[in-house]
Amino acid sequence: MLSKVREVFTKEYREETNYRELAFQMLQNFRLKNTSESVEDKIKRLSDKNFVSEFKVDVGEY
Amino acid sequence: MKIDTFKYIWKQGIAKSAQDVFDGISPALREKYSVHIDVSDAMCINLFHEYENVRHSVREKYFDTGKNGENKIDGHKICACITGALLNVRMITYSMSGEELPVKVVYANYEVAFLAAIYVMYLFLLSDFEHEGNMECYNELKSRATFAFPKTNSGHDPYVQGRIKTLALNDLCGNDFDVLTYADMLFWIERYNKELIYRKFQIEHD
Repeated sequence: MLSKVREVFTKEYREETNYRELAFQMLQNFRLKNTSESVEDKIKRLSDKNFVSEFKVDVGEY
Repeated sequence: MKIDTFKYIWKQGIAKSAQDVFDGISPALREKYSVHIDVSDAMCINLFHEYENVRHSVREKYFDTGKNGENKIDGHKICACITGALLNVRMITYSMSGEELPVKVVYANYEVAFLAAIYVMYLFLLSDFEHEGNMECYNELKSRATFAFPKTNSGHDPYVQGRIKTLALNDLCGNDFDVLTYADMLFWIERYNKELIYRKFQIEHD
């Protein structure tokens, strides 16, 4: 417990905290974007023609 | 995703993968360990709610949804969210009598978690080929009706088994499921299969 108290007064801890606070303010810049076709439209193409999947993957024996 | 869309991918992807996993367990093991599969409508709704929880969390934390919500979560992350949901909702149940269980039984729900995403990604890829007007690739993928996976280095587990074991290990060791990294893996599996089809027809692409 005492070691943890000591740690928060270190220069490294303060620098890391500063970085975290700064980076968190910039979170919006990191967020992902995607403007490609929606999965609703992808699936509609298949469901509209009643597509039935025959897909299969064999896992094999362990 | 609307419930009707989810019901379609449930029927053509998720429930189908679970059925394939169940069928892969021998009748003797099924009887001995009381293995059952739940592909009921109630399970579909249950999984949909869990999927929505995972998707909502991903959207809130990681996505710039745009001013009017115009940015959508892409197909790979949707598939990864399905895997994440299936780690919490188990479609295959079995008795735990205390003695050690066969790996084929223990891995069953991890197999479903892995395969369901792959089965759904196949649907997305087929639809993409059609959307691009690339019917040569569409017909080829449809007739293949499976995905190829890269050969692993000598001495390693086959690719699919390695991924299923990794899902199990992370889950059992209490590691959070990383949707973004998992989606990246799905991207490369899709890309690998697209490349194989493009090469067959010697199609130039980006």
